[in-house]
Amino acid sequence: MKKQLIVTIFTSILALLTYFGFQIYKKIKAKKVFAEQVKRLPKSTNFQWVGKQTPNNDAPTIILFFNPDCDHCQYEAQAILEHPSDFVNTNFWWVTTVDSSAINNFSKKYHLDKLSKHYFAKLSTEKVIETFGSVSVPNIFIYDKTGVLQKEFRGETKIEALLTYTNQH
Amino acid sequence: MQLVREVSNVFLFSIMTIILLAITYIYNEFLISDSTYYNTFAEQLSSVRIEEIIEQNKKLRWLSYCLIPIIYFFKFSIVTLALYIGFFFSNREAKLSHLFKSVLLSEFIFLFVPIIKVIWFLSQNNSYDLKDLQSYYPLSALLLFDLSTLDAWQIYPLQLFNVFELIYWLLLANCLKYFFDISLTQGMKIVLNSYVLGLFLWIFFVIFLLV
Repeated sequence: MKKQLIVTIFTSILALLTYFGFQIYKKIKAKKVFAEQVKRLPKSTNFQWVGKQTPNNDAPTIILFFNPDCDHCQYEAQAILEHPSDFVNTNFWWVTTVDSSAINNFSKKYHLDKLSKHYFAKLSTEKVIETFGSVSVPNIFIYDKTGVLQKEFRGETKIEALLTYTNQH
Repeated sequence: MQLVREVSNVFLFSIMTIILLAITYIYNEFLISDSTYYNTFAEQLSSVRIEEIIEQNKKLRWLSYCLIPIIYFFKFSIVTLALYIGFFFSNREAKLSHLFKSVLLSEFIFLFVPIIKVIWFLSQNNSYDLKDLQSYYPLSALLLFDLSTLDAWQIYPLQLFNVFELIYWLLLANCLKYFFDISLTQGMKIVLNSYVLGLFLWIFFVIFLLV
């Protein structure tokens, strides 16, 4: 009886270790793929744009994952709004998984709809994972005008830090 | 050695908790200064936001003191339970209170880690950040690697592979030998089959969450 119990427990532990090991391997492999993928600016055709505007890749681009209800995203929007002249030559892709009406409310609330070069897109959660891997909100990707990733910031980021990477080319 | 047998678990746990609270106090008051926060967040956050984080963390410090006895009691209980299962499968009787005492006595070796950490960082003149504080682990495998080249999930397992952990296994086996009248080899076998196996499972689980 005891022997059976020992065999059962050790088999379960071995099964758990194998399961975790396999999942860890899969996750690490996927992470490497996403790390390579985000090094280039994703095609704008992959996004479902909200509003009339669709972006041109003629300038450095900041992709900003956000959620209208997130405090740090609201802070980020307010900070960007207060420095319009610093970003005249920068495209902003505001990307979120929420519906179009919430996106419109957010862009109106922070007057981002009045600024040129600010584009809003809705992306399904599956598409976000497919394109960027796991992202937090806010999650910021800064690309130069040739579409090469310069820096990724997870979480709220000050304007000076954004400018460091948009102004370097 | 008779004294070790007579001293109560409550007393040992209280001593351990008091030392841990004292170390945490030194850690909070002398190691984590405003400049530590600035070193950590200055690249990404404005000074106003950093000040807010500092204030918020200062307000929540009492929580770290309250959680210490709870977290450590939970940890010691889990290790005791693992050893109890080890004894059960090696067809031996074991009193839970003696197992708990073995764990408590062996755990004192881990107090050297924060003490060394405090001494090390106090000599660094505030030139470190919160990541350095969290990741530094004396005499661990982590010291063999350049931290900037590692992913977040690699840090914890490399920290766990350290000299203190190996001494802990030996101390546990020794305590089992002393309290349960078994050989050191038998004690080590129980430690390896129960605690160490559980530790490996735990490491895999944590990596699974962190990746």
